[in-house]
Amino acid sequence: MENILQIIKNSSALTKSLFLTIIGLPIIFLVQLIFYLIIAKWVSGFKKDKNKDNKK
Amino acid sequence: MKDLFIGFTSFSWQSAVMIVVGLVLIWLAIKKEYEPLLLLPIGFGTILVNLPLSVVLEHEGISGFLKILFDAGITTELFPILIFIAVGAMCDFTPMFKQPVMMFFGVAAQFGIFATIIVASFLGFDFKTASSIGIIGAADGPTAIYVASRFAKDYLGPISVAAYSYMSLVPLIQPVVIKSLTTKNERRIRMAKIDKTVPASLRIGFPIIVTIITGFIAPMSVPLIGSLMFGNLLKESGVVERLSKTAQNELGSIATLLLGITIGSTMQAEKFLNISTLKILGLGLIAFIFDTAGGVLFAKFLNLFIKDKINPMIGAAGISAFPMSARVIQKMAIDEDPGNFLIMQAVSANVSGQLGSVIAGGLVLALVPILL
Repeated sequence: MENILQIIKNSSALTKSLFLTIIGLPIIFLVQLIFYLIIAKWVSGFKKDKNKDNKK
Repeated sequence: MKDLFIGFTSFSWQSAVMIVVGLVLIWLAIKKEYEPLLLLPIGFGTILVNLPLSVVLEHEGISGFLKILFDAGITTELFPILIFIAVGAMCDFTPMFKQPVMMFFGVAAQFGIFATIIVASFLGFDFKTASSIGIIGAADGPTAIYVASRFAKDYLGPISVAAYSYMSLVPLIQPVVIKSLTTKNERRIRMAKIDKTVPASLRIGFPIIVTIITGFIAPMSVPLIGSLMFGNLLKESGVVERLSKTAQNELGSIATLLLGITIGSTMQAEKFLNISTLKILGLGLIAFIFDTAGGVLFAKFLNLFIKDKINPMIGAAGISAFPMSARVIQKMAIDEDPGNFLIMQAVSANVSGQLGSVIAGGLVLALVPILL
């Protein structure tokens, strides 16, 4: 990884931009996926609790 | 005698052009109501700074008030941060919590940022400046200003003007792009309504969790995301209504006013009247086009695999221009099919875009220095 970074650091702005795109979009996707999973889990957990309370 | 007429003798035609630019911005703000909160102070700041001798910036070695504001608020990044607290206090993530799947459109519509960074680099801008120009594609004024104030202070004026101008032109830009990428049948797709109950604990916990997670993934983004989420926590906690209202109103207004006029002070003739400004304005348009296209094409791609089709127009609402983009999509949906109500889904994608744009901005702030 260090070697790749070193090559990118020494390359042109265009290459850096392409590299930024290649790693940037998947990272944003991953971050949003983490938030998605947290929200989905939180909402479904809340639903289960609510159903339990209703049964009681 | 010469000193008596120094105001006239020291005036250049370039300054006259910039004063006209300032007047145009004020006209757009007042007559067309294009982002008046920002464009009006920027326009007036442009006039002030281009008057003879630019006393508002510096005179006889003494800093003028706009220079003092610039050093205090832009160099330190304080004004954009205060704006983020205000924006956070105004943000309501509830529509996104109801349909979290829409969050992915908030990613796809950030495509314009990266596409524009590539094009800007191709046009000869250095990497830092290209990244700042690309952030216009976040369709999020404060994020664009924050990144530009960090990476490209000399281009702060044109980047800010491009970001806010194109945001107000979303109703003109998006329909053209959407229509060119979708069929009539696709634009008429109806989507099921989902109305989940959102627990209050999620609304309170979300800003804290987002801050901590992004703080670990991209520590450089913490001032940006942390201030946004702090504002949001003030609102959602429900126990500091006074602070929340202050953040939304007084703080937001004061920060906007100071930020606007200070950005105007960067629009001096020698900095603004060059080919780079024209390129930045052109690239801003490209960013918005790519954003919209990214969202629409992502929705079309998803439709290849899922049973309940998504109206691809929803993808375009994944940009941060809230609530303008959601309104545009709803209007287009009704124009195609009067009974088609997509507003809930569009708002959800639009709110996701607000979050996505800040994350994208934070990520650019974190990654660019690593690659330099």
